[in-house]
Amino acid sequence: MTTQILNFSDEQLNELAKEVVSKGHVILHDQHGLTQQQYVEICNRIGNCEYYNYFMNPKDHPEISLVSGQKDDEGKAIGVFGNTELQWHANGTARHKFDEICVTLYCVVECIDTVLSVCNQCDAFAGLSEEDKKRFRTIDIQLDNKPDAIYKNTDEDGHDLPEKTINTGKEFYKEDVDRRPLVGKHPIDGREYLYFMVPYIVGAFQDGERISHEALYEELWEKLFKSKYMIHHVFREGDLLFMDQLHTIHRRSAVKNLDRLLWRCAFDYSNIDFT
Amino acid sequence: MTTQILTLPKETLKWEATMTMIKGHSIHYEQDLNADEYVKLMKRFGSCETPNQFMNPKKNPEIFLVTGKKDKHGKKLGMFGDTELGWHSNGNSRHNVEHILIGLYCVEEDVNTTLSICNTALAFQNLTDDQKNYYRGVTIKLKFKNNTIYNLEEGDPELEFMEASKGSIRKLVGTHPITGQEYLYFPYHFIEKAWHRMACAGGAKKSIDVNPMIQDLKGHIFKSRYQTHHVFHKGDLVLMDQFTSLHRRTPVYDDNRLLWRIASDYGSL
Repeated sequence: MTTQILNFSDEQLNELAKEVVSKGHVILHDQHGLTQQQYVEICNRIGNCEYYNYFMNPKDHPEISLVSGQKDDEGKAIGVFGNTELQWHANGTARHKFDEICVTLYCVVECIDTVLSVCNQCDAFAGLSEEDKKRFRTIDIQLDNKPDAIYKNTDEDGHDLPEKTINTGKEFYKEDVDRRPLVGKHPIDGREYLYFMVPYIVGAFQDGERISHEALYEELWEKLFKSKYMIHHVFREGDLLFMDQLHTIHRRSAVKNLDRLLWRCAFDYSNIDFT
Repeated sequence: MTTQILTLPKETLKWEATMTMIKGHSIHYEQDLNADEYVKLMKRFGSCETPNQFMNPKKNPEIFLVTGKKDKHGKKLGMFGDTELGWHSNGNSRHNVEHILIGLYCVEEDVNTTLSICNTALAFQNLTDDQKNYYRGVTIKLKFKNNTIYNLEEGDPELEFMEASKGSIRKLVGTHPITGQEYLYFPYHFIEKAWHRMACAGGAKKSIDVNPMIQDLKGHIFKSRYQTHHVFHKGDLVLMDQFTSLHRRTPVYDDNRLLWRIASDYGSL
């Protein structure tokens, strides 16, 4: 019998969270039969969960976002992210600041032809030359929401997509900053990571002077997305994945089985003792 | 610079080969190989298969091109097309499988295509003792069947190549010739018949219903925790032991994807 996260002691949960921060991700297999209530309880034991009341959030458990290409009887999407390829991204989308830096994905219905790739931005930074590290530390990036940034809605999705009701962007989040360092320091372990939020970079500045963000984008793509920094996962029912959203970035291939369903929660680490 | 497997000393290469056998696979990133060097590398492990078919380049017949790409006349350049490939391993319906090490080297990538590898030795290890004893007594008859792991049309030279094997009868539980590990040999698409020989009752052989056995074993073997997944990027080299692992592939979205495949034995080590 695989160890069940539901039975984890506080100490075991602390160890798990430490591993998520140090490796960037952790996968637990065979966590079969979690209810939405149990799933939310686990996440809340780690930290405070983000919650909204959008179409993809179950009413009783708004902390959960359904990730699925499934549609209801009226043809409306029940979850986010559809069934097409998803570009590299992390939670926090176009935000410069956010607290929910841990994301979990729990597989309810699998599609064995769909792969999630996770790239470790912390290892990628450590693998740079000293010269590149120094230069990247002087760069700030500006992020904003862009339509169709991480995936494209197809024509058959129509124009009244429920996803268009999701609020995002700098106006919604009322941020007091308009940029953030390209190289961040993780608030828990202090390690540096490259924050290459691929689809949302709208500007870049070196020592305060605007530089071409397109050229920076090309350079970062080459230096970050190397096979050796990536792991890949095909979700099977009962798999539970944790990803740190500062140390890693992720993408997904297209979904073939439209019934594929993941539950997603995003939270901070505020209930974990990292000492 | 990432360590280049081609230039590893023999003892280190032996270690890499052993780890590949035990884990079922190993992944080596940023390997800068041309076709000659790749052949040279795989020959450091052992002798390589060279069937001289349409997918084997004349200059390096040890290489099998794995691609969905076609030439300007619409002829296939390589094997395995662009559709999903079901669970299999090299030489599944051959009487003797000697080339139990497969190398896959990525020349052109498709970031949406995944290779899944399942460790069948670990799956066996985690069975109960009763299950182990039962399956040790099972013999299976294997034969290639079209439209199972993938679909080939009549007249396709790849179909001719795949159907050339006469099939084989072997134990469901094998013992690895080098490590002595026990593994489940389970290319289930090709299992036609099965028998169980009881240790007691004078070792009587009894035919068993294949389908329930397959369903039962699928549940034991294809668990997420025994699987590793890889998306090939240029320069990646995956080595897989064909006894201690099975593999499958998701559909290919970019027909330019090209892997070089070589099957070798461990004779040089």
